[in-house]
Amino acid sequence: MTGPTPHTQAHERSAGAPLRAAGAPLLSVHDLRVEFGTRAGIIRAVDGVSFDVRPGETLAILGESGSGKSVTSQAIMGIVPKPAGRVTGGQIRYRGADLLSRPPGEVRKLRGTEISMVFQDPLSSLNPVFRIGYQIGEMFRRHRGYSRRDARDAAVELMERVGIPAARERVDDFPHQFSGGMRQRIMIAIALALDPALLIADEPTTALDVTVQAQIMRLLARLQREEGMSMILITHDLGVVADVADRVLMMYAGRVVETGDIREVYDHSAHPYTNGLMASIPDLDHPSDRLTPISGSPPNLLDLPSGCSFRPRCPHARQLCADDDPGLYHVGQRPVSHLAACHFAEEVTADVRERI
Amino acid sequence: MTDLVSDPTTSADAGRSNRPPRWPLPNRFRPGRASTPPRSRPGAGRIRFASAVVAVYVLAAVFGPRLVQYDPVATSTTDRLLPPGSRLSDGSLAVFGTDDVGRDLLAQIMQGARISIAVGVATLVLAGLIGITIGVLPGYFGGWLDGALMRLADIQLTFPSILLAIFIAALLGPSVVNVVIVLAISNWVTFARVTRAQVLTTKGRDFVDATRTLGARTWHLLRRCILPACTAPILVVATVEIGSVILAEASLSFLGLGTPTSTPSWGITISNGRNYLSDAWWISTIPGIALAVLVVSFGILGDALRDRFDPKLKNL
Amino acid sequence: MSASASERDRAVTASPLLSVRDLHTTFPVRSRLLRRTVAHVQAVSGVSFDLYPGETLGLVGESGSGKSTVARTILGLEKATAGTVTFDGRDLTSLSASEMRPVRRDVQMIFQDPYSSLNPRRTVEEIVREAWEIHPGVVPKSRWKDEARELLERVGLNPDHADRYPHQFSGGQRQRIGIARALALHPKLIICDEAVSALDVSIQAQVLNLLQDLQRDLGLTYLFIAHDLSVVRHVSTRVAVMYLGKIVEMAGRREIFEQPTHPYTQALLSAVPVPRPWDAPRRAEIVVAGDIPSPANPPSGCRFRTRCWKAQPRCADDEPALQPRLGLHPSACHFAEPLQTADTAPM
Repeated sequence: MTGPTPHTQAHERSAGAPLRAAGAPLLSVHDLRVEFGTRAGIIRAVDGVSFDVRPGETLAILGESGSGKSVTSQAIMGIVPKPAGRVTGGQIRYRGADLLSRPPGEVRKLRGTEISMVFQDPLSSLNPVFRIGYQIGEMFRRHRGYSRRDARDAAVELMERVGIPAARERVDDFPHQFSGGMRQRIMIAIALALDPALLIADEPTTALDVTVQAQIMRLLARLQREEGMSMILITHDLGVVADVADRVLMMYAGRVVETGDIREVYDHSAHPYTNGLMASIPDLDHPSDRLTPISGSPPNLLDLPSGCSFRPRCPHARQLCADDDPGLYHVGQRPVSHLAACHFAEEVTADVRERI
Repeated sequence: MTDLVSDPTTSADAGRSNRPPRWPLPNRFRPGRASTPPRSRPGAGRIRFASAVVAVYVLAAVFGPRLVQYDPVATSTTDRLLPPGSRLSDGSLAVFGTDDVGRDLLAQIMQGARISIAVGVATLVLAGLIGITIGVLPGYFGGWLDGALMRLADIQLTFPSILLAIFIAALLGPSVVNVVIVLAISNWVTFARVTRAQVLTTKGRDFVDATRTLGARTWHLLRRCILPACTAPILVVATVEIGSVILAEASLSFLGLGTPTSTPSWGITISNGRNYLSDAWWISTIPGIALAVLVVSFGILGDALRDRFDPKLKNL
Repeated sequence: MSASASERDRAVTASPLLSVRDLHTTFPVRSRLLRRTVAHVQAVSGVSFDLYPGETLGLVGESGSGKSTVARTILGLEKATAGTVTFDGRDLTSLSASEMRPVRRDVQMIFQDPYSSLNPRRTVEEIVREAWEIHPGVVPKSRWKDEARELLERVGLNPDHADRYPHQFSGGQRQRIGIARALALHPKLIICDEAVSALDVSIQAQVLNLLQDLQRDLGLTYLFIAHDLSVVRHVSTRVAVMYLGKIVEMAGRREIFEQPTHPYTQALLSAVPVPRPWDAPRRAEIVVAGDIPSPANPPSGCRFRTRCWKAQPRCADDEPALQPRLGLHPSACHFAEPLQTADTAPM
């Protein structure tokens, strides 16, 4: 932990900018760093990422492949692939206690009960040789000491809650007897079994069809409302989370490039990467003849450019961007939190206003 | 040998070594997946060590008999059963001693290495040709022939291969060529199965379909898409198998069903020394050690190559 | 409306490049032990459409709709069980492998997975020129190197990288290599099977623009298969929506997106996530229940009826034909009707 962190920089650069008042965060990630050792060199998959998740809030972490969004969630869950990857710095505070410095046993228990996770591929996350009811009920038996019969009943109840039809008849089926959408509901049921305070969903709908994707996103939104839990949604699809998320964290090459309230970020994007992504998506309602893609290739994490990592693909890039790595700082005049890591954020926002 | 183990994986966009990967890249090695970077090259030390040992044997087999003359019919009663390090009647040093008719054991072992390695390689070539053909063609075309050949392979696998070899060898009689034939017949199955499995996975890959949509004929597909994908697992199998082939050859020869007694293969030398174990231990023991070290080295090399190229072949 | 009308007018005047009639493709399901055929998966059951020179027909559907099987059957990678595929006046389903070979020059495909669709053991130049080795006479051997370089440049790759291997490129670049390979024989029709769905959003837009440029410059015709409706709307001139092996609705792109009449199309459109829903025109909120049924045992009558909120007893007995309804485009629903407003839409 050396040098100024993005958050302190933010405060320095915009003293007096009002942060949205809120209670103590449930999860607070501070200056998280994760590295992977490869034969070709060390990859900084997550490089100084900081964010908070408040109780009852949904945060979307957005980014393309290699942005570090999934590694961030792996670090929170303590499942960074070893031995290649390791957390090299920062803090992950859950209800004030740093998960990285606590004894592993204590943290493991916390991660099983208070923080739970839903993965992209429900088939490989379920054990093919055990019945669904048994797998859902396992959480109750292990952590709550339920009897087999009680656990089975609790499993049926959970299956009904996540919208699996004919739950009582299907509780003894095996995973392969369910469709992809139903399997994802089962995964969500398992994740919800112990009433977690925080649910992390890593690309929960990417493997699913559009109509099923809509079902799952609605389910997640409903459950989040009913349970009052916090949620971290990790995805590459800007559209999927637009209805559900309160805030977004846009990642590029292992860093946060923009964060803030979702409407604020989407409507007044202050980072050229966010802006470029928005322009890359074909608009279903206002089709144009030609898309405006982001030029160039995805970043090579082994050989990032000096200064701003997005510089080689950025239409606004100037000499300053190569010399000085922009930290996150407050943008905009509205009384909502909105931070961006761009030297020319005002220019970008002006561009956006023109586009819309 | 080491050249064949050149790095099959290149991470991300970096380290852009300009050579073809030797193996279809598994998911975790695909570029642009920074979250799962490749591990360090598995088994580099083992490969280097085992290849060095094998290289010593190959050199001894190629050049040894030229340096130390060996005459299979010569006998010298004065030099009988001399222990290792003795001087012979002609004044030369017998590093490994002499056998029951006074022949130099070192010369005999180097001659034996020549036979063992030659039989091993010839067997692999023959078994490989049979196995690869049987693996590729029915594997690619499918149908009843595929089913029939694979059942035949299953049946043969239920037979202990050395028993089968003894049976065939007894029919054909002892000769070096017959040993090769016998061992090839009992070893083609592994090649056929590995090749077939590889053909089946490769056949379903998009690039094969892409080549088909270009209008390629079957021969073109086999040569350009299917066979190149099979080379790495076949090399791994060959390395694993050569040790057992050499061992099987020695066993057959020991039993008198392998090479004729005039060709001093290791099995025959060991067999000759059996009667003298109590007073001349070295006649059987030294070729036994030579055999064991070579077989173990091939085993290590095969394991290391398999770990490197295809962990899926684990229960070979 | 006027745009789609003119699209249809043009369609009538030209003769189709590709004409698919009542195409069926079924796969046998064999028992493990005796390899007896125990059932048939009807991946494609009765698909008909025309593709006119220079246009892009978007073929949309979810997994299990049979859209990729349509593509593979046209290319002869799967065998049609019934129906015809007429390309340039010849029925491809009746051709032998050697009669098919010259047709291959005219019909090419771009695959979904940029990783598995390129032979990992061959350099980019070898991949691109493979087509010329298979079809001698298209490009003389002395020109192979130069032509390959030109093709790479055409698709936006550095021609100096021709001697590199596929694994040295990123996903988007690899997809460009696949496009260069498809272009090598100067085809008339290119089938894009989910050609951009494996790519990151920022790269997807680059490849879509490239495909548009190539169509404009080379006069290509595309059959564009995708599940992403935003992408389909962007590239297509006409769109066909598939569900469980059948086309349920087909129209010019404006008409199908602005006046869909089939409940499945309406549900699909309603489910598309848009980046800024607060700015989008209010759309009907339809969430269809359940999952797509198994193509081994499809429902009787209308195949969508098990998930449809309009379903009546009639839908189970009487299969609705794909025919123009309400004076609009073809739709396969007895109760075809455009959605009025978001407020009256069913939940």
